[in-house]
Amino acid sequence: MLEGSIIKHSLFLLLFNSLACNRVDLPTQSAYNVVIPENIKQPIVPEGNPATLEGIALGRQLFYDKRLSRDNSISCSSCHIQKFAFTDQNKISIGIDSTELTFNSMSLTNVSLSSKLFWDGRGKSLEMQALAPVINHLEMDQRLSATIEKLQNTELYPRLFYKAFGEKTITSRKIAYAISQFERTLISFNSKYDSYIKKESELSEVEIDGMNLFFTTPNPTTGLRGGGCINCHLPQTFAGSRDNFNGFKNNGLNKVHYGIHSQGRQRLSHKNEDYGKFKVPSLRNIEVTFPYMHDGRFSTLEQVLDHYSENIVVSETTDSLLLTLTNDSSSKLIGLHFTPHEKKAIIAFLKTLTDNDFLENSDLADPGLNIDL
Amino acid sequence: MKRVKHIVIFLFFVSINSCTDQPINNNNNLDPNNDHIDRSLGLFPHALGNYWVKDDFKDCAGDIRMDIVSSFETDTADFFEIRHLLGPCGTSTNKYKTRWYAEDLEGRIYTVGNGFKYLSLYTDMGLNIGDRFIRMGLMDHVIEKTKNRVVTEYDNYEEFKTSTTVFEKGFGLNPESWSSMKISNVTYVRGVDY
Repeated sequence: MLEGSIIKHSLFLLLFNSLACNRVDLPTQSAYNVVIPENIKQPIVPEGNPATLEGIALGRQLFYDKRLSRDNSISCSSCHIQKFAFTDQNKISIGIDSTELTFNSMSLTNVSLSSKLFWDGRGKSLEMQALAPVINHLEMDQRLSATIEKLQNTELYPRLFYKAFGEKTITSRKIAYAISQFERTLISFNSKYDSYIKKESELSEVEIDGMNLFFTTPNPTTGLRGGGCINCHLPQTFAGSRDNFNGFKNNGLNKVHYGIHSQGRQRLSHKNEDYGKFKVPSLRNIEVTFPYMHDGRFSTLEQVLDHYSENIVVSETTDSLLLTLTNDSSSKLIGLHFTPHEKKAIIAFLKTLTDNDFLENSDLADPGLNIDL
Repeated sequence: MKRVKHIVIFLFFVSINSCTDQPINNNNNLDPNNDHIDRSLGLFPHALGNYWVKDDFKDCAGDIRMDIVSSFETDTADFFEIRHLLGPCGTSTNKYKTRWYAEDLEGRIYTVGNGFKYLSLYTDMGLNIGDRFIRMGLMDHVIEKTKNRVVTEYDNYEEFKTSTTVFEKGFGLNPESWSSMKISNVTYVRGVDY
């Protein structure tokens, strides 16, 4: 009886002691709600990676940190610069050792509202995409293990990871999760156009003309003129469809480049019907994301409008709307056949999609924690 | 007092049991220095009828069986088709996929794609530790190399992990991962033969 009592008490003391010794004050994470207008289809956030203030702060720091590259020369922000709506204004982006990459840098404006990432749609989610440029030998060229080691050996990062995830131990999953959390805050719905929709400001006459053309599908039989742009650049996001791969189109570009530069979706699907189909990008902040198209072939919006007006190249996979929509049915050339005024008007409207608050938002800028490399 | 005795006896037997030596496998054919193995079978032995089986697979673990189902030779390489049996994933059941591979005379393995229109390097015995090459779009790094074995690893950014690929002359792909294999009519069982 006595022995049994001793054993019981010993076990209790052992358990208590163990719990007391291991007591840790875990940091609390503050949930963060990324605000997106209600009439927009909300982004899919993985269950295991809800946004927190601490996670976003860590992701932002990582996004701007050149430690993520082999020689500490480039960061995510090297190709995704805030004032250019997170593009880089290069025709083709430049990776490590000044290596020319494959495509024009895509804008990260409202990137969380895309279901498929990259020009060819190979990115399945922000989390699954985040480390791709880090390990890519042409982009940042750094092994996951080296990345973890570099970050773990700083004073700053174990602390930031602890705040964000409750553990100082850094893993590649946590790196990807944090960067994704930051990228989900890259939301832009505060342009002149948005103010106009909310009846908070006016558009000029030429901007109104452009907006009407943008939203109108032309009908030469009735004399209704338009660009029909809205058929591919959908309302609100001004980006392609998020359903399956419907947001990938062949927009009638000629083959300046070959191989993976021109294959588009076909490179992954191996279907001939996908040849030359690229992701329809968001037109929000289009004014600052030049040069345009997946290969950066057009320097100006004027060149883009000229393309859709008169220079559509017909191929087996050219989008059927581009082959049929026109403002001049008598012309033998495929295209929308805009007048010079119409081109100017559409460009004026596109410029109303510029969101200066987004481009200058200090919460999205380099946090500048001055880490010595 | 009786209970304490029982605990002591129990712990005694536990300790006896844990100290018992496991049988030592002296027949490790995967020892890279084992010269009794027919290394001339190549880096990926591809005679018809060869197969590799995994009994202890987990859900969604990929291949649970590989069978060589057809092959032909050219002057520069042997081409062979593998039927992969994939493990069940979530609510799905097992399914098969077939894929062509090639092994050339220099000890390079390729995946063959798009109706034999392209070859994509899978591994290469000519590489040395530290060398790297692109495999299926990802950078593969050679981390171990002996006369009979090449081990590479790559970072899988979608799964946040680093994966290792082993090729062993005479045994093929990731030999330690299979429960058993039949190569040129000889059956090898893990724990017995390797």
